[in-house]
Amino acid sequence: MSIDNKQVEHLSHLARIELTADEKNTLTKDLGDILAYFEKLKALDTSNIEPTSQSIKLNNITRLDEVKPCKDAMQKKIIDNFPDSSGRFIKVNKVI
Amino acid sequence: MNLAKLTIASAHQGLVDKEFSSTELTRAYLDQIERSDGDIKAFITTTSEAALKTAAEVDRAISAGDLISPLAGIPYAAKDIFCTEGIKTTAASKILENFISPYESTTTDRLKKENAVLVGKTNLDEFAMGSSTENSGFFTTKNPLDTTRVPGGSSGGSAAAVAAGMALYSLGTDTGGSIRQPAAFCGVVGLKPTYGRTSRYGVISMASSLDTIGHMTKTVEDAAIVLETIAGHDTHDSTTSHVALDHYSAELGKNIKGLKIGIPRQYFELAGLNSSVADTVRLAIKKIEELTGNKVVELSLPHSIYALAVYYILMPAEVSSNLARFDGVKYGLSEKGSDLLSSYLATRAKGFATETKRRIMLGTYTLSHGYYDAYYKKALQVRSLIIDDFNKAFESVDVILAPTTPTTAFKIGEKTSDPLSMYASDIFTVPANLAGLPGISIPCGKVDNLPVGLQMIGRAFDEKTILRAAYNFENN
Repeated sequence: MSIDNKQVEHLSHLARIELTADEKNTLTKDLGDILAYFEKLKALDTSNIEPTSQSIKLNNITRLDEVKPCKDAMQKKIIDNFPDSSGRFIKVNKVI
Repeated sequence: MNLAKLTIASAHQGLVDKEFSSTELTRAYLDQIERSDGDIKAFITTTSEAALKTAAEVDRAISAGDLISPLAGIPYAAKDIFCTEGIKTTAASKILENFISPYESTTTDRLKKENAVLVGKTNLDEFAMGSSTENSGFFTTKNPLDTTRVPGGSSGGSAAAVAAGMALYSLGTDTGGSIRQPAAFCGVVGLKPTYGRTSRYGVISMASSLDTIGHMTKTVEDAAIVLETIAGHDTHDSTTSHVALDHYSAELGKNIKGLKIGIPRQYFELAGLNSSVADTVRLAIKKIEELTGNKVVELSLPHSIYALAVYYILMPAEVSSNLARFDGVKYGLSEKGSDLLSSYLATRAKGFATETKRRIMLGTYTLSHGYYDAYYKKALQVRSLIIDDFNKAFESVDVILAPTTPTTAFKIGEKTSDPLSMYASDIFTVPANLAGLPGISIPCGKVDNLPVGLQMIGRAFDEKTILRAAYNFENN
């Protein structure tokens, strides 16, 4: 299955990564090569095979949904990491 | 103090017998970093001040006559993907270049509680994506055994640090071979435990169903000692298991008479396997036969030829989802655009390097509408077949032997322009990740003066058997 420049552009939008024209060209080629490598899987009949998404078969590991206090010192460290803030709030560009 | 000969076990004995203090030991390692790391470039950050402070605490405990734990006062390095409170954690990415984690990973926290001495944080391929450290957003680490060659990856800095005597052991992560492959390239021991044996809490996620926390050491005994401290269930990681731990270091000395060992036929039929590497591994197999008294049996893992394709579908899919969190809003690099969308686009364009972009794009593609069944679901189904192969094999053998890598360490720059050839260096290591099985790489000889790694894969949660087999191989 090949992939073209236009699809790469659409993907870059979905992935939220702006690409240069050069990057788009390289990625079109690289992704095409990699997808061609995946073709070998088509030879396998997997129609009756259950998919495995994790290997150690744990099921429904849950915990109580409870609020735990976060110490002031920890709050400060988290807030210090905000690229832009106003008091205890993160500042972002207008969304709507 | 002879740094080249020291191991965790002998350094601990040296501290207990007061042959040297932890401060002296730590200074010796910091000096070695000072001498060698300008050339090797294994470290992104060094933490000498905190290291000496911890060392002094251990020295006070020893003088007071307290018993100290096996890792107390012993210098180690952590891959810069483990969150460390108050110390930069970058994942070797420009997007986290100045990130200081507000909390500590479970693994480094467990070591901290034992008064282990962290000397620094090591280089990696950005977000652990690569096989050579050439994808680091900052610089490439060199192989201490031949500085024109790569140390392997993604935990290349961690392997190089141990091989160059800049730490007695190091922490790494292994998603498709990232501990075992660099251990093989640098001639050290690399242990990837069973998925769920060690906690991923506080380790920056790459592919969550595959990421496994482990370590590099100089000896198998040291690998067992570190595992005893870091392994075990963690309430912060719901994928950690309650399966009981073993007393790994106590089991090592038992002989392996009668142990049943197999080699997968498919691994030796692979075109990319270097013939001298294959010969070296065959010699190792002979030695194992003498130790077990059993003939090593040839077995079949018929779907292993599909493992690399499955891995390079599943891993990027998980990557594309996990790395969505780096958006310049809550932490890390933030590029301001005219609106929120343009801020995202610009931040991620500037913050991620080429391979990371490639994998996010690939994962976005295989998960997208119309392709999901053909790629992602198909890969999950073939993953089941790969696991069935291992289950069948472990009905007749206790340990599976294989080369760790198809070649010895390659030249810096040799594979950077061809992603598929770089991906192929993981061919023998990814099956254990897909099946969640424990694997260890130990040095088994040299080809043209470069080390070759022998890989031992065991049953899920049976680290003790591969450690014991590896120890017997190493010490006989």
